[in-house]
Amino acid sequence: MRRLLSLSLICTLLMAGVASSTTVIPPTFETLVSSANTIFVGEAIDVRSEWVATPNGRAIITKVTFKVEDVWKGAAGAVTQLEFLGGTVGEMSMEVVGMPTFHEGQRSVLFVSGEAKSMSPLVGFWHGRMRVEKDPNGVDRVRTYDGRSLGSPAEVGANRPNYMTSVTPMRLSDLETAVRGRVLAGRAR
Amino acid sequence: MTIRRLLGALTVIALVAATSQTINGFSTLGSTWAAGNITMNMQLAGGSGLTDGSANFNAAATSALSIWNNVLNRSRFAAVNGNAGRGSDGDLVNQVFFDSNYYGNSFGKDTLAITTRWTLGGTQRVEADVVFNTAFQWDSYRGNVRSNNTWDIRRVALHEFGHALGLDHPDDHGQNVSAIMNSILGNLDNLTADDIAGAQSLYGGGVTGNIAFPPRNEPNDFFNQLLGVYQNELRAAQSSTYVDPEGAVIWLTEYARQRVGQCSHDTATTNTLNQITSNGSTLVCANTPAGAIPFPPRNEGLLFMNQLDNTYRDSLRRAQGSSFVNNEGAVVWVLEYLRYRLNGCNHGDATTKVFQQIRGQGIQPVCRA
Repeated sequence: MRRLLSLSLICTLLMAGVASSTTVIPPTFETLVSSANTIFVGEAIDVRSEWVATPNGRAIITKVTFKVEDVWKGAAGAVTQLEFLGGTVGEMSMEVVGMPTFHEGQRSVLFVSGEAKSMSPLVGFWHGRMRVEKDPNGVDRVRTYDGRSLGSPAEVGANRPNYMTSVTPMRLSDLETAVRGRVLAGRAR
Repeated sequence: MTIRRLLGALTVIALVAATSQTINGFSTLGSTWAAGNITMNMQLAGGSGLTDGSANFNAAATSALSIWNNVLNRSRFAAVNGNAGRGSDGDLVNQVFFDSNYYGNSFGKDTLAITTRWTLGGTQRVEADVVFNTAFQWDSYRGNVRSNNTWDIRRVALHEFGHALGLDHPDDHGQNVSAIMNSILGNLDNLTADDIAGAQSLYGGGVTGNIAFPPRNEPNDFFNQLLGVYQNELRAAQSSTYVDPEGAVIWLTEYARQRVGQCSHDTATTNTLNQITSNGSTLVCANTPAGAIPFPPRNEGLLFMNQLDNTYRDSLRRAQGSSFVNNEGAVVWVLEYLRYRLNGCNHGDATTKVFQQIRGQGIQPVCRA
């Protein structure tokens, strides 16, 4: 059944005119929420990279520590750390193209998958990170991982807004309502 | 309508016009490989009966390397068939293979393939591994992406190898272009002009050129005669320069050859000066279209000449010398001599026509219509 759902998702994406992403098949908003074990709003307060041994050599990972402001799904402590493959140690950098990168002080909504030891702990690799920025009136607004204005949940993933389109980013509170609604709908099934 | 409303309406019109524009432009990751071969160890297992007739997955992915190589110059991929199976990370060896995870880390359920880039000092590429996820079914085919969950390894490889070269997703950086390097791949199965421009911005492209330039001794002879005209007829004072007469002629000719070969001023300057300082490529940017042969405007030639002077002074550590032909005169008359030569005049006729111009007899007709 799960396989069937997966095929169904892919067919839906194809019919929508989005054949694939080279590296990642973009998730819909529904998939983003349902695939996430934990969804929280947090501010990166520490970013540090280090070498690790892998079964076939060595790699660099980056540990990002977040001060959690709000949890919309699952459970997260007041301070939560996520581990991303790639980073810079001294002169050597290892980058996985598309891996989200964080700077201290940046606020994000993070859709964290339940997969153990994944390259990216986020659902949909980079799609599971949304940026949070305050508008001039102090209202928290939401942008996609690459900084586009996210007008509505329908614009998540393959239907993301065009860069050139001038859209007021949705409020963080509206995204929260949409996420919590989707979480409740998922439980009701 | 008040002025305020009118301004408001005009602003809206301007905004609509601005937002309806299509921005063109690739995006790069900020690091490149050193000149030479980028060896890729092809370790993809299996792949018989592929739709496009490729012998196996390695062959299909290798054809993607070849497609990139067609537009590269300074560095090119070199495919080496390795033992099928998992490679090693952080070992400064580039490997292309299938796996169910990425060196022990799960792909995430919707990830088709991954490219890592290792860089030294932030700008020097030293390793790139490309791993295709075995959770998906793979084939090699052209045209629209199939709706049966079978993915075209060649187009995915084209994209991943673009990352290996140093290209990023243009659509993640505010660009709206057709490109295999866009983050969301559709039915496009080959490189576009934007992809090629991106690769060539990193590694240069080039062709040998289709316009024959005169042998080196002839422009040199022209310049020696020009020195005599400046000294004896124009009674020119000597000007200081770091470039000796032969150097001026050789590199002005090369700059002109690059420009005739469709290179911009910046590219032509870079290509030419690289030949002086680091044995750079002698390829030009493209064949010259039929018709009038384009020549650079005087100001750009002079800009090049000034940079040449600086290169001789700073990189070659040449001593300051002097010449009866100043830099501007060298640029103008060498380019003019070459213009005549490339338009059907032999050495003697071209020399004569240039000197007629110097003596105030106006621009002379070229030797072919």
